[in-house]
Amino acid sequence: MTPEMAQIALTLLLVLLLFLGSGMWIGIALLGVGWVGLTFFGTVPVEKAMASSVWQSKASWTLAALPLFIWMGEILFRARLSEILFRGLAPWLGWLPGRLLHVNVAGCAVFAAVSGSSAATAATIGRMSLPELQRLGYNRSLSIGSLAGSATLGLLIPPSIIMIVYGVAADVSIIRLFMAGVLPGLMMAALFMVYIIIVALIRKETAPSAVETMGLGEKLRRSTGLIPVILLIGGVIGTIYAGIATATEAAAGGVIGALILAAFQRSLNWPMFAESLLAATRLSCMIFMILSGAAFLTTALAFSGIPAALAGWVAEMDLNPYTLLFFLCIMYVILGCFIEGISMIVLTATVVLPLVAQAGFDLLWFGIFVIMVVETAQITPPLGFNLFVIQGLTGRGIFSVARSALPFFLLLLVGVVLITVFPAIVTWFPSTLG
Amino acid sequence: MATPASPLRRALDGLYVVSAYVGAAFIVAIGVLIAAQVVGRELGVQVVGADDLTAWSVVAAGFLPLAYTYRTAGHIRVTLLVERRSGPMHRIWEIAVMAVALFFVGFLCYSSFDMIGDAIRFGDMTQGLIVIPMFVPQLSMPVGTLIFVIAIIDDLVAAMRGGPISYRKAERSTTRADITHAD
Repeated sequence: MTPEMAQIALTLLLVLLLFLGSGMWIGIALLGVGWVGLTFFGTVPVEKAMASSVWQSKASWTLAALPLFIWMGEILFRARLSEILFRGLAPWLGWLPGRLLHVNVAGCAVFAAVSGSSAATAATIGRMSLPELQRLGYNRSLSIGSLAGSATLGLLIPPSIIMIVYGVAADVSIIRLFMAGVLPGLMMAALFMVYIIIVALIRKETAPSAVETMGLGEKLRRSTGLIPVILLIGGVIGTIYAGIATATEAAAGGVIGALILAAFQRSLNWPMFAESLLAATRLSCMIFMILSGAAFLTTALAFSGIPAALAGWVAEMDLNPYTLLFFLCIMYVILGCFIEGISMIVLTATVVLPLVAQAGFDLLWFGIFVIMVVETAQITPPLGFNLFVIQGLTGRGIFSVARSALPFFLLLLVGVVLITVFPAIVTWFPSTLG
Repeated sequence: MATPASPLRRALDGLYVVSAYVGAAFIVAIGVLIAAQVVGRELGVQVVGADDLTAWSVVAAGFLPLAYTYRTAGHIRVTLLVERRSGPMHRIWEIAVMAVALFFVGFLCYSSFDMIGDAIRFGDMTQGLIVIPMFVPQLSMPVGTLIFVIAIIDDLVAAMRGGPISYRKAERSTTRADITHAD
């Protein structure tokens, strides 16, 4: 890496930090850094490169999955899904030590699968489960912590918006990413449940002992509400896995399924339809703006040769690949205090992905790794993004919420170490695809 | 205090909302196109050009609602440092941020018009099953960014007159959980 190039890279980094710190909208900040890079250090006319790089990257059939999955989540978000999950799951989890605390984990895992968003999952499940758990006398700290931890499963269990974004940025198959997230997602849910069981066994007062006993028939009757949800998730994941549908087609099916489900729940009406659609429009527009800015920045940086030079420089240093991962991990956890997950991935993809590929990591594996790290970052004590969401729900101080979330933060780190030591947890399932 | 909204105010607000609904209609169109493709495949009928139409709709759905998303504080930003400021300093700061944003969005708008200008001048046609002039599907970019530019100017004028800034109002009236309720 020439000193001149290092100077350009540093200048651009400073400009980016200045923009982000000043409160500039992230998509526009990326656009701006690209403009600075190309105007002062480039050789092509900026006005020719900007719109065409955005058009070429955004006019994409694959990207159509994004607004559709977001819309599906917005419909289900308004279809009283959390209530159904709580009622349906509770009878089956009551026998485990920790009892209804597991509803947080299982409910979040199921809701996350359909919403693909950790903050939405925390807000939706928490609004239902936290008051209920408190009324029944469950340990408050463990209720909050398990919610904070489990909500982050939303990024791992398909369909996941962040995986679509990573797939587009890294040019990795979205279908394979979806499949790669399944096992790590289930593993994390299991780790959380085991932790709750252990705590409940040691400290008996965590969960009240009184438990409603009911017959199998009653249990099944209460769970009938779960069936459409399970069919919907199973349908989306199953058709993708079986190779019947692409991610985009499954997303269209998911929207139709969600509308039917909402109709059955009698929550589908015109205002709800319009509201869910407008919310999805806003959200996908926001992500599009960031992706557009990033597309132009990527083009601008490619002209400068900085990402390649940086990758070459790291290769020359002959860094242990795991040392590289360690530094990236720290960088993401710090970033997670200021920026939410999708922006973090888009922001860093241009520079980080060539480095990681250079170090010999599989970009599919790295996708799951980085998503898990981003998840962890969302509940980094005391500033993680989701902690603020939960703080809003409970009205407790942010430090109290952070303390409750700490064990789950540590468990997520354990998960990150596990997939690093045993990469097969990630790569085995997608490898069974045809 | 509440004066009836001026015709200009009503027209601008209407512009933002209508463009958002047109963007939303493109999301519905994407869903319909893909569903039609799947059904068509089962029946052995090819939906001509559905792939292209979908890709173009994705861009329209992304660009047309930019202004509406901006005004309702849908675009995310790091507010950690901004939130701390208050009073006249804060207003000046926001004006500066908006002015810089206006420059870059304005440039994107200019670049988009330049792109379709080239497409018209060279008579570019789309490649694929649907052959139409290239600038037609590309139109959503200059139009969407132009409305975005108008929205930012709208706010800049309001801010300099000491009036309310649209997205600040939206940021305050929604809790953080609502703004970020999906990511």
